[in-house]
Amino acid sequence: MKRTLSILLVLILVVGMFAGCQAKTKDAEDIKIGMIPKFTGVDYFIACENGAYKAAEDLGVTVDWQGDPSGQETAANQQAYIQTFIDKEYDAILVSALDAESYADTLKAAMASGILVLTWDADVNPEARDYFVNQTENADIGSAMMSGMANSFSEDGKVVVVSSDPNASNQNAWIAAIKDEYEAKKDSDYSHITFIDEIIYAGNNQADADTAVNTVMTQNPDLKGVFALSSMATPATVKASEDLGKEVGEVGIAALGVPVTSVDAMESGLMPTVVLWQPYDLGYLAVNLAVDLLTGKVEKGMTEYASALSGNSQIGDTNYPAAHKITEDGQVILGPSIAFGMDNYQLFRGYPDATSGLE
Amino acid sequence: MAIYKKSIVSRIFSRENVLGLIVLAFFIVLSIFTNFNTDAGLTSYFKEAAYLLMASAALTLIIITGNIDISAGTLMGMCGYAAAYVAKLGAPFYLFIPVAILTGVIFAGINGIIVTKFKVPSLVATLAMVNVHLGIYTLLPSGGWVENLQENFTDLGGTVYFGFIPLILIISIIVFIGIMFFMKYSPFIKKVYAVGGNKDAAVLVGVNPDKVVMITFLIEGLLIGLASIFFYTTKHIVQANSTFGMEMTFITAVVVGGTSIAGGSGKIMGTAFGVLLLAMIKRAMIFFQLQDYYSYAVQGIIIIVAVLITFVEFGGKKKDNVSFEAIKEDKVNG
Amino acid sequence: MAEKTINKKKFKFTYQMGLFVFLAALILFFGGMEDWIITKPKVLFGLTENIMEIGLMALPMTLIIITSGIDLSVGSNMALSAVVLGAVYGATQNFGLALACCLLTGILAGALNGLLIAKTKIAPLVMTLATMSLYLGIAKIISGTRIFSDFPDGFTFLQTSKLFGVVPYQFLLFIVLAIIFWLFLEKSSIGRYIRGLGLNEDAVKYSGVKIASIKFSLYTVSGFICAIASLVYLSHLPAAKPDMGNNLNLQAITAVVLGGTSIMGGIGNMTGTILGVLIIGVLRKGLQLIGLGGDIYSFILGLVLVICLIGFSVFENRKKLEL
Repeated sequence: MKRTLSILLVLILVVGMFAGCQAKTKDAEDIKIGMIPKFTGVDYFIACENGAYKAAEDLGVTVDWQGDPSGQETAANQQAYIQTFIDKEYDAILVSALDAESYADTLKAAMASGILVLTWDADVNPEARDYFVNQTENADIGSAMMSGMANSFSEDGKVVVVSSDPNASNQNAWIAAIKDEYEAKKDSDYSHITFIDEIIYAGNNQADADTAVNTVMTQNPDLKGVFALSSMATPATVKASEDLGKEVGEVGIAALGVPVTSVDAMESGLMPTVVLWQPYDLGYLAVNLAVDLLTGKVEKGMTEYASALSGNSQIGDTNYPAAHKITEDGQVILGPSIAFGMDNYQLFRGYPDATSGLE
Repeated sequence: MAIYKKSIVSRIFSRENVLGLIVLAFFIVLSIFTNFNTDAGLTSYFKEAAYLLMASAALTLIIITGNIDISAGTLMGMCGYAAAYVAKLGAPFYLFIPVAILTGVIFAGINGIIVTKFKVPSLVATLAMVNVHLGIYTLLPSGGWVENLQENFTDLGGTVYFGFIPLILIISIIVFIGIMFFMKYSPFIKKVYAVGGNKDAAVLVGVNPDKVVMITFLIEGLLIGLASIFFYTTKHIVQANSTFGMEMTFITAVVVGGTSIAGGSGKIMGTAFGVLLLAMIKRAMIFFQLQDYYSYAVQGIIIIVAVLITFVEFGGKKKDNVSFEAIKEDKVNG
Repeated sequence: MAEKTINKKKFKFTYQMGLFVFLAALILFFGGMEDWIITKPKVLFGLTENIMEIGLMALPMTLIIITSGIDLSVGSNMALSAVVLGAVYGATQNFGLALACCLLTGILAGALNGLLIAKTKIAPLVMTLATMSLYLGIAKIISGTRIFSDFPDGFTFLQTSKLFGVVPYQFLLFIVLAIIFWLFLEKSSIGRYIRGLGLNEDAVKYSGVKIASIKFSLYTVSGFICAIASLVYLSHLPAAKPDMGNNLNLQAITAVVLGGTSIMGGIGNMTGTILGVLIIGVLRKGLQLIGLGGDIYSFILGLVLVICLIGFSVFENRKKLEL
């Protein structure tokens, strides 16, 4: 029995060795792109997906979107999807990374075999990718949130940062930006604010987020503000405030959030604005950049990149700059951040439908 | 046969009484050292106890029959999603609560069929069903999420009397007392214990074990459906997979309460104390600033200790002796 | 009497042969759907990529299930061993020490299971359910919020280095261990006792065999293999975190049961387990190739296990009627 098995394996080996390694010639319009979000089924990434598919349609390329449902995502699975795209010899792999180090080797192997590797939304070790499509400059988010928070209350109080998880590279970058902004003005404009040392991690599960925020609020009755860097953090803060009997607005929230999901909080005044960008455009840009790199329209060393989005509407009458900035470490910036409120939240693109927010 | 004639001393120090004392002690300690005794602290605690009572009661019955249900957690998520989905469409409580219960009964019933009709051991059957449930979540609209729930749903969880007694706890206690009466007076329950203790002997005295186990699963479904309501109406967002792994807590409460995992014995009152204690331990860890990930280790240790105690208590007797003596000595009472 | 024995042999042969045919069919199916890239040796052995740690765990699991026990703690055990490895190496940069600690962790964790299960009448189900939680918790406490990804260069050789440039060493490791386990089960006297334990534990006890030490050894070996599995896992994803082992126990059990081992104990063999592991591996890789993700895989796995269990049960009951 085992002998039969091994004979069969050897046969397959022999056949395979003859069948393998055929070089393929690439046609500009035969481009196949594999795109991996952190997870699926959630407002933010649904918007990204819709934007990516629009770009695929506009540019005539194929995009395969592959991810796990929220709550079941793992870096190991992301690695498996990357490996599959490598096996199928896709032209580019675009990934929003769950963690920055785990599968760096796999990505490097992809690059070595001639595949374009881009990260978007969440970066990996810069050595393991060609470019990172970043939604906005980290410093921009940091100062916007910090000054927003400082303006929301004037008496002394504590603030806490609620992030998603300790290995989320974009959240960590924003936290660093917030802290930098704080350090710069902590004796002047921000002197009434003290940061709680610990960073609270909400995870990707609403129940855990609720518990975590409830805990920190219970332990710190003089908490005045929450930096909600995870989409779970805002509802968790609202709930904890209610559960602990606080007045609306007693604990202010400076948040990143998807506007449509935060409508209730915006309406009640608990969180008048949420800071974000257009994930739809982020998805679009990532695909756009990949295609332009593969067809040679963009080369290494350029410091600017004009995509199909440049100069067009970002939201309402505000337009994107004429070209995207490319930083030294390979980041391509989508544009400045957007403050969404009751007056413009319907202009958020890509969620709940593929045509939402599009004029 | 004289083993089970208990002396006055051992009656006073019965497991349930000891547990009750421990719970009381914990309560006092926590009230002194933390802000547990405030409205806010008590409310959170009671809200947690509400759903744990229902779910652990459900599992108590299952375990008494000598089975187990590892899919209880994901099952609760399914019920919660169904209820929330209907509520989002505007349904009032007298509609979405039956929806949750119906979902629970259906899916627990599926487990029951696999175990009784197809004779698959409940451990592996329900272990596999966990993955099937998770797979179903991904097929659900919005991947098992329902957002922005309105008052028709959240009021139920949010209503609190006297500042610290949540409505859901009151309902939960009422149902639980109902279960206790049921267990004391229903002839069905004696069959449940018999099946768990010694199935072959039960058959010989005319019990149909398949029917008994099947009905037990259906009851479990009902209770889990209720539990899901108590759990989810305290939230604004329902995520079906947020209950993944919760069955560990339910089982811990059951085992701590004195129910033997081998089946055939156990008191529902014990489970109640187990629930109170576990919920308190959870709160205590939060207040003493231990992070949530200690809870896994603690739960594991608790189960081991509790089971060891049960083992020592019964002196290693085989389970068949236990059940018949238990029924004789009226240990069946809830 | 003689006829009955021959019939039994035929039955076993048929089922494993059926598995083999199924495996080949799966390979052909997925290959056909994806331009036969599955026949490239790189991809074919890539099938073994993510499945070897489960394959390793399935080997002692087969023995344990045959004794009508079970070990649910394998995933957490693996995670704990991995975390210990990462933590010790991160702190001391001494790989030998880290490796020793890792293996020791696995052995001790397995031994705890073995001790409590062998010495008390506590059901292995509950025991390993508890230790599954316990080991996960300890791993979380050790890690805090960190992921350990600092490992020496060349550490990933089990995955990346290949014999003849094609066969990963981890696959060879699996084959070697599988053969050892197979010999143990089929050819040694202890192997027969293990079968006996599953069929009628009292009978074996009364014939003087030291059941307690057999059980203890089985769970300890399982723990040791989990530590080895952690090395294999880390060699293709060098990041040690506490939840890396979640759900692996289900996959290992599925492989074993799929291979023909009865969950009630007494019946089973290694060949079936090996085939079961390969089938699961092909299923997983194949689903990925056609673009279906990890969630569909879990779902199908759950279904496969349920169907398999039902099928077995029906078959066994029919056999009982015949006898």
